[in-house]
Formats: sequence, C-alpha cells, structure tokens
Amino acid sequence: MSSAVSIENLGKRFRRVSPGRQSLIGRLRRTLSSDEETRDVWALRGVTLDVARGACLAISGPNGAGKTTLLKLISGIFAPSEGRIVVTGKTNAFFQIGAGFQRDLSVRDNVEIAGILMGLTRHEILDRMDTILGFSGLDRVSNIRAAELSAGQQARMAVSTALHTDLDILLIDEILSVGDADFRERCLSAFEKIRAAGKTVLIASHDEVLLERVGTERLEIADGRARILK
Amino acid sequence: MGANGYDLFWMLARTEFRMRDQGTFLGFLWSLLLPLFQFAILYAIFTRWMGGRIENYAAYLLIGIVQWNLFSAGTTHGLTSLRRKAGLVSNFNFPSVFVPLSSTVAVLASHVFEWIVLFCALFALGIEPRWSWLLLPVPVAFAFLLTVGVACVLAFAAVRIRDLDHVWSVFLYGLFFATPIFYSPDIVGGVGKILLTWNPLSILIGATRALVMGGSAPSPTAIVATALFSITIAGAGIILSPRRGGDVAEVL
Repeated sequence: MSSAVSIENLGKRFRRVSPGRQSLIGRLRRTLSSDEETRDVWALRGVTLDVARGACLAISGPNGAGKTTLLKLISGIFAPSEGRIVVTGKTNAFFQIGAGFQRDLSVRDNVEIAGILMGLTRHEILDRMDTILGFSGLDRVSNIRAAELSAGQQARMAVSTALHTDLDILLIDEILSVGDADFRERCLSAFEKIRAAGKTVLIASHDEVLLERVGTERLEIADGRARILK
Repeated sequence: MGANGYDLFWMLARTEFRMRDQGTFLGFLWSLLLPLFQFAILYAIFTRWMGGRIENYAAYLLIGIVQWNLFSAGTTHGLTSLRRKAGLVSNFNFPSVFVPLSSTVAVLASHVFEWIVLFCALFALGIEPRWSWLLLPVPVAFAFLLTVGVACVLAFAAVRIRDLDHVWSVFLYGLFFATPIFYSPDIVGGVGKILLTWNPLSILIGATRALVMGGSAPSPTAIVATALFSITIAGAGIILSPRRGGDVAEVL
C-alpha cells in the first residue's frame, strides 16, 4: 500500500530566547554582543516513519514529548530542521482544542473560516454548512459567539468541519478527549468511513483506551524520540 | 492564487473588518470618532495661527487627517495582525503574508467610508466639485501601497520584537509632527524643509489637497519618486515576507 506520510530522520529544533531578549533593545544587544542568551532545544530528533494510506496512526507520549510538534511538521505549519517529510495528499490544518477560533464571531462564521482555511472555496463550505452543523449538533446554536461554546462544543465544531472537508490526511491532537461519549462514537465511526475511502488519520492523545481502539498503528514519542509499537 | 486563495484572502479581510468595527454601523462610527476628535482639537488650537495662511483651513486639516489615518491605522493594525491571528497562523498552513495584507485591506475599507464622510464635510465647507477629483484614487492607491509594505515588514518584525508596537507608536507620534497635517509646509525652513519635501506622506497628502482644493501641488519629480518608493516598499514588504512553513508559527 502506498504511503500517505513518509518521514526520514526528521528533527525539529526550537530556538528559545529569554523574555528580556525579545524587546528591540534586547534584540540589538543579541545582534551586537556575543553574549547569546538563547538555547536550542530539540523537540524531535531522528524520527523515521511511514504511514500507509488508509491507516490510523495513534500517537502517545507524555506532555512535551513532541507529539504536537510532529503533527505540525506533517501539516507543514512547522518546517523541519533536519531530515525530510513527504506528504502525499492534502493536509493543511491541525486540530487541537480551541485551535484558531475567532471568539467574537459566530459558530457559523467560524465553520466558514475553518473550511476555507482547509482548502474549500466559500461556495463549497456554505454548501456543506448544514451537514457540518447537523453532525456537530450545534445547529441550534450556530448564531451564537464561539466564545460562548464549551470546550467540548468547540471540539465538535472543529472535528465536524474537518470531517466534511476534502483533507486526505486528518491530524487530530487530543481534541476528542473533551467531547462527550456520543459525539466521540460518531467521530470514531466517521474515522472508519474516511479510512475506508483511502484517507489517513493521525491522532495524538493521552487516552490509551481511545488510542488502542482507533489505531491501526501505534507510535510512542518520548524525549523527542519516536518508537513504533505496532 | 486559485479560487481558494481569493476566498481565503477576502474571508480574512472581511473578518478583520467585522472584528475591528464589531460588524455594526455603530462600531464603524466609533472608528470615525478618533479622526473627528483629532480634527476638533487641532482646528480649535491652530486655526488662529494657520487660518490666515491657508485658505479653507478646515478642509485642509480634514484631508490631512484622513490621509494620515490610512497610514497610521493601517500600519498600527498591520503590526499586531500576526499576533492577533496567532491561533490561525499556528494551526493552519496558509501564506502568513495574507494576514497583514488583509488587515490593511480592512483599514482601506474603513478609509473609503471616511472619504464619503469627508466629501459631505467638504460640500458643507463650500468646496466645489472639480474634475481633478476623479484622480483622487491615485494618491490614495500609493498611500495604500506604502501602508501595505510598511505593515508587512512591521507585522513579521513584531512577531520577534515584542515591544515594537510601543516603538512604532512613538515613531508615528514624531512622524505626525513631521508631516504637514495641521500646518503649512511653507512655515518650515532649513533641514526641516528638505525632510518635508522628501517625506512620502507629505507629498501624498500635498497631492491629495491639490486635487481636492486646487492650489500648488508637490513637484512632478517628488510625486514620481514617491510613487516609485511606495511601489518598492509594497513589493519588498510582500516579497520578503516568509512563505508557508516558515518559522512565524513557531515564534508565535
């Protein structure tokens, strides 16, 4: 089976700058002096991985292990510091709790924004609006401000939009953990359907039961190093 | 840029406009309040001094304030645009230059409404319509290009330099006085005169006033130099902005 995501010796380094050095004067001092108050932190290093089309890769690991960094690298939001990633298919977004919501706009407006950011035209997302709102169960509150939604409802909005766009690879970070059991079941069933259609799901979570149930492949990340479990 | 690119850009601009003015007519009126307040104070203070030197000082002042506000509001709003949209930039992979660009377009939309109010005020002040008004989009377009270029540079710099908004507000305060908004450039001599002659905002505001009210315009050389400068700044601001997958999302 062909690869949806192929990763070779991937590494991601972040440059940490102390807060005092983020001002204009601090910046000038950093440029002019050799007294560098920055340090490089490798969030991920030496990751080699192949995810087949139609698979569901379940990613686990403690906080700060590098799960989110890996997903952001695959989505193209972050650029690798070393190694390479080949992504076959469309995946330009990344879903975590509260990701990218405009708090002062309505639920409907937020779905439209997210849909366009995920690659749909305005016409396409408006055509799918009722289906998305129906799936999320937010059709009755579609005109309220996104800020008034609970964390679980925000998760519903994000996942529902993602499921109804044309992304080939879905990147989900911890977002299902705040949804209620009924919505979670609907999502898991939707994941099965989109996988059957040849799409790929990568899901990062601390919920071992969820990961065990949903993953066709397991990846554990700890201290920036990745290990395939199955 | 494909169909989605256009939709994305206009969606960002629309969102920015609505969030800036709370999506209401009353919200838009709030954004008019600052220039009106500025006008009232400057007119009250300087009309005795400048009123005798400048014909129809009220119209002169209004045009200066409206044109200044495009640059001032556009760059100030553009500077913070990437930080305000950190949630989008760090969760979706799209060209981040769209953020400051759409932010400046939203300010331009408000500017168009300001011009409508300005035209009403000009009629009330007894300024007769002229054929030269048809050329008004030209200085506005160059002022917009200048604003776009500066806003893009500031937006990406502000991601790394956290106090740049304070630095920029101080710079703008100085630039306000170094631009003939409430005074005539004739009263300035020496080095100040040279600075005023080559200040692009001074030239664009001067050209706008000449088109609206008649009178002397900046020299053709200065106008062409300002036009080329505005195009260069806009081009540099857009072209030098990081592409997709840059490190903006990481720093945000």
